[in-house]
Formats: sequence, structure tokens, C-alpha cells
Amino acid sequence: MKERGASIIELLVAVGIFSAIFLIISSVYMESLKSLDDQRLMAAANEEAFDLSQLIASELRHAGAGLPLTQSGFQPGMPTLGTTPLAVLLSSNNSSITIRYNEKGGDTVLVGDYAPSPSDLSFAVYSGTNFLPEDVIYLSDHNLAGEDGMFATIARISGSIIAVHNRYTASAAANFPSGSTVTRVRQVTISSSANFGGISRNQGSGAIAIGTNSEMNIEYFDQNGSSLSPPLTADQVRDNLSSIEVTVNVQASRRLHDGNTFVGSGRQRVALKNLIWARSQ
Amino acid sequence: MKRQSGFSVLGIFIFIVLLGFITQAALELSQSTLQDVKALNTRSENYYRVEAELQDVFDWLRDNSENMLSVFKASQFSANFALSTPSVSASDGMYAFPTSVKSINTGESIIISNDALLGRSNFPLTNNVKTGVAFDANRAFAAAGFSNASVKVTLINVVLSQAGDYIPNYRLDVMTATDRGIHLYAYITANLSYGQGDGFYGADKVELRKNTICDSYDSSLGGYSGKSKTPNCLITSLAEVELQNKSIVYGSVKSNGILDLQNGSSLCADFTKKCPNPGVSCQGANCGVGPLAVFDPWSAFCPKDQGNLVVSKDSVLTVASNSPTDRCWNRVTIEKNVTLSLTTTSFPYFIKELVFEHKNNSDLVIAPASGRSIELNVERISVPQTLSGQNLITNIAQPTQFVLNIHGDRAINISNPGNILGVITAPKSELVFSGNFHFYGRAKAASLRVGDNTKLHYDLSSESAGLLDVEYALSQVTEWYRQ
Repeated sequence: MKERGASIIELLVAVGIFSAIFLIISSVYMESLKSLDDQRLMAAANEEAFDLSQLIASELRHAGAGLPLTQSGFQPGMPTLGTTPLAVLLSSNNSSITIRYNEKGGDTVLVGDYAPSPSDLSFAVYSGTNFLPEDVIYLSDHNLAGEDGMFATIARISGSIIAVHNRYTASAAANFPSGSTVTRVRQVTISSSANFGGISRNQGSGAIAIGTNSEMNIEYFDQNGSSLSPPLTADQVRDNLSSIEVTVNVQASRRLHDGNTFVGSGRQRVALKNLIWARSQ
Repeated sequence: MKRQSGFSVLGIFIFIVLLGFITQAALELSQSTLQDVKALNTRSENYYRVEAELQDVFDWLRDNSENMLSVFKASQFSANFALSTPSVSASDGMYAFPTSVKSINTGESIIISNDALLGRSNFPLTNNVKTGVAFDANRAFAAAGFSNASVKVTLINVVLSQAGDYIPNYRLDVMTATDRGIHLYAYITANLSYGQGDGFYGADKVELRKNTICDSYDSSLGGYSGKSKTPNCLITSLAEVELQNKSIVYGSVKSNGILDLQNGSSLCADFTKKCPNPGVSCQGANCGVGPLAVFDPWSAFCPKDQGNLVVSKDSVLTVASNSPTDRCWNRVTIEKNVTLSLTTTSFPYFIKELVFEHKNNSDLVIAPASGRSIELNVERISVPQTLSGQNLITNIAQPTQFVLNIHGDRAINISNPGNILGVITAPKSELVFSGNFHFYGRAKAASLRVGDNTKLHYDLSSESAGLLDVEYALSQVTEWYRQ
């Protein structure tokens, strides 16, 4: 029997049906692409928030590192050294925190006795290679059964001779024997601006943005997990502060396809080991 | 019309494509989070690992504080260490820290490590300050099994204590690996703890008469000699210490009551002629001299005994067990020209009355096995005149090998000829050392009188008093992540 071709009507019906199906599929496909784009945007915001919270938390967990917290006459909260009543946590509120710590080791020791005075601002160390001008340093004879401490800022380094600026702070009649430790104890401030104005880090040489479209909230807790209201007192830092929780919110770089603004979030809680260790000694 | 086919395949294909888009979106969302979480977990695990290892090593140091302390005693320090300005030696390994204390033999810093890259373990051999048991810190550290991290303990400096001993300060480095991961270090500061040293003690009075001398030595290092003597004699009393004319104490004296340093007596910090450097004297309640405990009544030790024993020929007296019927005698009499030897070191002797029939020819020989101690308890000692080194013969290397406890209140007089080594405790009786006689060890009595020309040599290792332990504390803990 002879085969007969499709009629024009059949063809039109077929084209219509296929067009409808194509439109439906195209619509679903376009929605999928939008959804994928939104998901990527949300993932990027979450990832950035997570990374920032991790970065900040990993720095905060070292608060007090390198400081002789068990040295009598120089403990967190004690105003013995004049201008730094909170030697570990210099300021604290919900959007900003300033800590002091030794970032990367590199300690050295005095190779001769040193008694600081305005007329004697330099001393000999075993090696000055790990230090730079304007580094904040702390001298301590705690490892030699002493109780003297000195904060100073390096003015210049010449070989193994370190000279400090005359704006140092030292315990009264400080006298550091050979073998006293010299440690970098940088002061670091991390702060955020409201309304996703960004998060910055300042280690004394100017603020550097570490996150844009972001904001940070910091909470303080004691050893029992109870919240401490900032700003913390010296006694709270010395006796109670045990952990800090950092929450970072990052606003997505553009709106979602539905017109809403997505905010990614990352949260880290860290124990302040140095304070806890110091209390356990 | 023939049935049209292929639409179902097309439908499945479209479904798979859509599913692929959805899966891709889900995977992209979770991928970055998973990567971050994994990195964070790895880093956190490394932090926890080194921090736990730091604590474990610190606990190990604390657990072995008594074991590792003897070399820091004044008498042993210079035999093991040399002091210098802070420096790093060639063999100190990675992350070497300038140290002020070097090995006297090699000039190297003192290190204990579980990783050869961090330096070779070379802590000197020590003895437990309380038990005297030998200790090899290097071997013990290796056996402790610190395998979770690379660890390095460095003796960075020492501080001279008021007592003349040295306070060790360490630095402890712990790291995930020598080339990556977490590096954590801390300084370990220390405090020495001392027991109440008694030395030569008289509760009521210690009296040193003309030409008596008291100095010290450490019998764990060898015998007494002009080279081994040290100026660490210790004279103590609850009530009164009296140094008469021409008596010399090289060391210190303490009295909670009267301290009578008469004209012509000398209290010297060292052996420099004419005593230009005075020794330490302490007078008053703050000196902390404590009372001397008395023994329980004799019947508590010996509710029954073996009765009397007359030794009429040379004999060895042994104790078979710690039972009163084996260890106790009512009276043991050593006849003239007879030698009685004591050899049992496992159980104490209890002899209520020990009788020497003849001043010089009734002999009691203390003869323990090498390194072992004999404990002799007596209520009283009866001797025609005075006990001497000729009838109390101490064939021992160290005073602690003869422990003589006198429970009763009859005075004991020990004099020349001969020398005696021992640790004597007589809380109820007066103990008299007199006449051209050397006594090595220590003695505690209700009162102690040291007669003319007697030489007392306080054995620093004869009592657990003195340096007892060291307490450590962590300080300046620093930690960072090394990529």
C-alpha cells in the first residue's frame, strides 16, 4: 500500500505541540539557570563569611600569646605597666576588638644585662633578624625568676643591637639580666563598620580591609559559657573571659533574581587558651 | 498510520539535562563549604594535637621533677653544666634557642627531643632527690611514646637559688612536623621546694665547743675529702644554738630561740681564710625549725622478744623476719674481745639494751651489703665509758647505710678514737660527740653537745630535707600555623 505523507494540519498540530513543549522546557531551563546563579551567589557569600570568621577566630584564639601572663606584677588586668591596663585584651565591644599577641614566634634573648632608662635605650640581643623597626616588643625576665617587664617599640636595629623609642613603659627599677626574653607582642585591632561597611584589621600601621560588604559581631563568654557584656573590665579579662564567638555576615555582591538581598553568615567560637592556661598555673 | 517513536527517549534526555543542572547547582553550593570545613577541621585537629602533646610533655616533666633535679643541686651542678652567655651550639638542631647552660663535657645545649632534626637528647644522668634511684631522662622520654608531634625540651637557663641550688628553666617546642603545620612553644619556669633541713639538730640546745668544725659533703658523689667538702653544714635548734670560742661552722645555723655566736666563733659561707664571708644565720620563730617526733613506746615495736643474748664469740646477728619474735631482743651483751656483726638490711633490729662490756674490745660491726642500709633501734646503750669508732665500727660508704634510732632517754656519749658514719636520731636523749673525732652523716637529738676538737661532716644526701622537688609552670605560650 502506498505511503501517504502527513497532512498540513497534522504538521501544524505537531509543530504546535513541539513549540509548547519547547517553551515549557525553555522556561524551566531558564529558571534553573537563575536558580544556579542565585545558588552560586549565596555560596560565595556564605564562603566569604565562613572564611572571614575563621580568619578572625584563628587570630583571636592567640590573644596573649608570648605574654608572661603568670608573671606577678604583670597579669592581664593589672595596671602595673602604666598605659596598658588590659595587656591582653586592650579593647572589647561587639563590633571591635583589640588584642595583643606574638604572631609568629621569633623570640630572642638579651646577651647582656640591661636596665632601661631614657639615657640607655639600646640593648644587645642574641639575634635581631626576626625583628623590624616599629615592632612592639616585650622584655621579660620571668624565665629568670624575675618580675620585671618592659613594653617598647623598636626604633632601629643594627646587627644584634636593638634601640627602642623613648616612649617605653617598664616596671619600676627594671633590670633585665642576660637571658631575659625579647618577644614581639603586636597589638592587633579587628573592627567592622555597621551596615556591611566592611571589616578591617589594623596592626598599628593603618587599617587594612579584610572583608568588604561585611560586618562582624563579637560575643564574650566566661568559663561556664555565660555571656559577658562588653566592654569587659580588667577583672573580667583576668578572671572570667574564656572564649569569644565571632559571627560574620557578608552581603552578596548583587541581588538575587527575585530582588532580595542575600546575607551569608559564618560563626566561630574559640577558647582563649592563653588566658585559660594562665589561670590554671 | 505507523506508530511514531522516539519521544520517550527525547523526554528522558531532557529530564537528565535538567537533573544535571540541579545537581550541578547543589554540588557547587556544597563544594566550597566542604572544602572550607575540611581545611578548618584539619587545622583544628593539628592545633588540638600539638596542644595535647604540649600538655602531655609538661605533665611528663612534672611527673619526673624529682628524678631530673639532682644535677641542679649545688653540689652537682658544676660537675654537669657550664654557664655562658646565651648562645646556640652547632648540634642544637632546628628551632635552636640561645641557652645559657651547656654540657660540661660537650659544650652543647641540654636538649631532650623525639626528633633528631630538633637536636640530640643529651640530658645528664640523674638520681631521684628523694630515693636516690638512678634516672636516664633521655631514655625515659623516648619510652614515654610522644608520637603525636615533634617535641623538643631545651634547658635554656638556670637561676641560682638562695640555698645555692640552681632553678632550671626550660623551653618546650611542640610542632606537627618540623616543616609544616602548627608550631607551639612555651617557657617553663620553675620553683624549687625544700624540706625543713635539720642537719645537726638539738631540740633543746646545740652546743659547739672549742675547736669543733662543721662542714658538709655529698656522700652520693663519693667520700669526704678536702676536695669534696662544701660549706653547707646545717646546725638547727628549737631553743638555742651556741657556738663557743674557736668553733667554726661552714654553712648556716638556725634557732627558733637563742642564737649565741660567741666571740671567736666563726660562721662562714665558704672556706676562705679568716672567714670574710659570713654564713647564713637565722634567729626567731620564722626560722621554721620544727620539733622532733618521738618514737612510739618500745612495746609498740616489741610486744614480745627473743629475750637476752650474750655474745661470747665473734658472731653475725641476723633478723629472719619483721615479726617481733625475730627482730626484737631484750638485751644483747657483747663480751670483751668479741665482735658482733649486723648484716640484715631487709628488716630492722630492735635491741632494748645494747651492752658493750669493754670500752674498746667489745665491737659492734655494721656490715650491710653494698648500697643497702641497716636500721638499729635501741632503747639504751650501755658502755663502760664512751662509745667510739673502735667499738662501733661502721664499714660503710655512706652514712645512710647505718640508721641508729635511740628510743630512750639515757645520754649517749660518742668519742675518739675512730670515725663513725651514720644517721642518728635520739629524740629523748642527749647526744654527746667529744674529743678528736670525726662524725659523718647527721644527728638529731633532744640536745646535742659537740666537744673539743670534734669534726662534724654533714652529709647532704643523708636526709630528704633540703632540696625536695621542683614545681613547673607554663608561661608565654606562643602558637602559629606554618603553611
